[in-house]
Amino acid sequence: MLEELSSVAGSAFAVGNLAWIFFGVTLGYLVGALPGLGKGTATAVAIPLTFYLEPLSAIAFLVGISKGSTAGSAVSAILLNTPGEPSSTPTAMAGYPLARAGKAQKALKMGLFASVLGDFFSTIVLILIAQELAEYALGIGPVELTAILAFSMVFIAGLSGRSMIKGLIAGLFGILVSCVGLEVETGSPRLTFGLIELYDGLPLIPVAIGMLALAEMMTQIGQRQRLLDEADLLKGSSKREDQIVTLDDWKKCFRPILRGSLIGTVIGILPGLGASVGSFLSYGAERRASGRGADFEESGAIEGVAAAESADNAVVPASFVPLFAIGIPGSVIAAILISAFVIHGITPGPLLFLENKELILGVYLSMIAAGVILLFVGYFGQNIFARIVRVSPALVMPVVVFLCCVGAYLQGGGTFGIGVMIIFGIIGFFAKKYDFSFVTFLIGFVIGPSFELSLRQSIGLVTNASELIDHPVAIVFAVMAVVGVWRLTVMQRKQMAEMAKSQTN
Amino acid sequence: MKHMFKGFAAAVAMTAAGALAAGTAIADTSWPTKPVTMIIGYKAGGGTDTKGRVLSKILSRELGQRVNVINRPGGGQAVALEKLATEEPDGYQFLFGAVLGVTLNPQINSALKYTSSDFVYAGALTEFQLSMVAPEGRPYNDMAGLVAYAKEKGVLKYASLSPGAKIIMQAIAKQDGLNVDYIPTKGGRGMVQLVLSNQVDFAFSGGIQSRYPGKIKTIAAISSKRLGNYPDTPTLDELGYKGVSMDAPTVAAFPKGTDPAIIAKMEAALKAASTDPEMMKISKSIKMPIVYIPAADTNGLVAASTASIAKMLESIDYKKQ
Repeated sequence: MLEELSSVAGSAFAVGNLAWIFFGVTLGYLVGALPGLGKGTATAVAIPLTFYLEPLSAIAFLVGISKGSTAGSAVSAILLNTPGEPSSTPTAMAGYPLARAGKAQKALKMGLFASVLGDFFSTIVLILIAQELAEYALGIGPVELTAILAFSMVFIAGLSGRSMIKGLIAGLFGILVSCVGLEVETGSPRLTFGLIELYDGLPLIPVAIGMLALAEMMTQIGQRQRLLDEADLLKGSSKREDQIVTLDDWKKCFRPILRGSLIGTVIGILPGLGASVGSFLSYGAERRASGRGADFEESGAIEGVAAAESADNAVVPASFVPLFAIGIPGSVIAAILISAFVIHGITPGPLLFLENKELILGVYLSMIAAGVILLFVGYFGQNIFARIVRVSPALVMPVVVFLCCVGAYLQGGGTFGIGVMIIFGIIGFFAKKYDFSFVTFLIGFVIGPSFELSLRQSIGLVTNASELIDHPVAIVFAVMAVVGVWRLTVMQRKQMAEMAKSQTN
Repeated sequence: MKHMFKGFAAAVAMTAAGALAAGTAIADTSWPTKPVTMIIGYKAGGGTDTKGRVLSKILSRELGQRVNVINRPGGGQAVALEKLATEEPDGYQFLFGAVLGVTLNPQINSALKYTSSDFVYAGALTEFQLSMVAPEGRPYNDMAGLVAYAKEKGVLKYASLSPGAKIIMQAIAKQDGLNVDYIPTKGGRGMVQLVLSNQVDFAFSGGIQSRYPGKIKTIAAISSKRLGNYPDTPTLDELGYKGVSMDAPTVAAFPKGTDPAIIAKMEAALKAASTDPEMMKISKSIKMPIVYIPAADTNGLVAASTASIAKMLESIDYKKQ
């Protein structure tokens, strides 16, 4: 393996190839940093640009874009509370409060470091065990996915903020909203009110932009006086320790980054789960581990940014594992890359390692190079982007709302997407006012359709209970889900008892 | 059915040829004088989108005007087609995609207002290899074997990503008295995963099995004629399931009333694309053969296919959703 790698290093690290990677990472980072635009858009739009390139350069360019935009979407998440894509939502939740406290630079830097580390970890996993792992991933069928998703949902229920009831209401509302569209088994329309645009369900990006960014802008407009008062703070603290990542921060973030990288890698390898599940799971795990509860979103948490970003970026290389080895993409970005491969005459799948081994090794090396380049581009890019917060809110807000509209338009099927965004902006505004959790809503919305599909498939596949013995992985996760519900209920009771006690005192 | 199709195709071919001759006799059209929009009814990055983007490049060269790709996803091309049906038939907007969007979808979905006769077709370029497939390790290799296995097992599980396959399956099950369980999947990859991991007994495929030689085998062709990729695999019609078929060429559809001269010009451009080296490279790597069908025959095929699907739906008492 090593010898083969060094033989292709010449072409992978050629100046021309590195230049394309650099261009890709920079372009991706810029697009990712724009609110509402994420890696899906960036990569899909760039595919035609690669028509005229050599296959290795073309794929390296696209890999650069996907890595750059995944990391870049943390910028708008932290600075403007507008995630470029659903998977950077947790970054916004933990990072934006930091920016408001004058620690934007610190949060941005930690986000970048976590991104690069998560990406690097996952790339190494890809290189070392792509072929071996893919065969196992194939064994994770609908029955296993159903159990894993059920477990994730229980786990995420713990994220619901101060009131569990409100969290559950928001989560169930998310699931309800995710039911819009054609029902999977019979194809009959559900909650579509005769609108064909709704047949594929509500588009994710406009819903997320509406709930987070637009709702945030509405809230801010209502608090202009306070914003003006805070403007000084937002300019960034002049204290050096608020601008850099200190040794103390590293100590805090080491574990979440490691855990996030692992979670992201596993989620990426499993076909059918997206980057959003990875970053939300990692964020949730860290939030629980910290024991800070809702304070995580109120005063911000550097370790939350680190957890979400490392997982988000780890998903991308890991999702190439099933793509390279069995031809099934593990994420949207991998699915888009299939079409890039095809345009360049390469068929992803089991024959890839036999027919195009050199190319694959070249892609591996390019991915490592892209990681290093990302570190530099991100580091210098942030200084430019961080200036955004120094601009007066009166100038920033219209621009953000405009960019939100562009993102919703591109990702939501035209003006229909903008309509969806506005409706969910209003829902988000009231959810914010009355303290209903966005997190559980979005998780319900994201996981709902996958859960429904895999559950429906499982019901067809497992016709009697004794067949469940063939699915030990599913049984383990199902048991863990049940234990999770029990633990959560006990914890909730304790909290209620404590609250009652403190009230009587 | 074959005879009916041939007769119909010939009749349509004659009318269309007449119209064409008339069109070219009047004047050569100056179209296109501005960029043309190619609508893809799916999200960016899918198989149809990939082919469409390569095709747009070739068409731009052939037509001397830019051909821009716009993705208008939703409801299996329904959103795109519904809008296109109401557009001005000036030749500046057309859809490129699988013909099932017009031949099948409006017949099974009562909310769709368009029908296949709301469009005219400038030709077809490639064809989805609609077929029934099974995991390699299964004891059956053909329909007879599958039916025998189903009778022995009592109930079989099959995966499919489209409502069309369910209709085909219901027709087969009715004829042979089979008991089958439907496992819905999202997209070709979901189907492939269930087949590769041996969780279903068979599945319906749009041709993706060609990427997995030695792992997935093809049992029968669903198309009305044998498939380019599997010339030795018989069609359901040949096997005695009369009238049970669906065809899925990818066509260029214009709104009804588009000038025949425009259609003729686009037809010529499609023909040129069918022998273009870049198109051939793509077709080879996605393993979807280039099947160029002239405009007249495509229009005939759409009409015949619509009628044949209607008949099939009637035979299984299909209720519109």
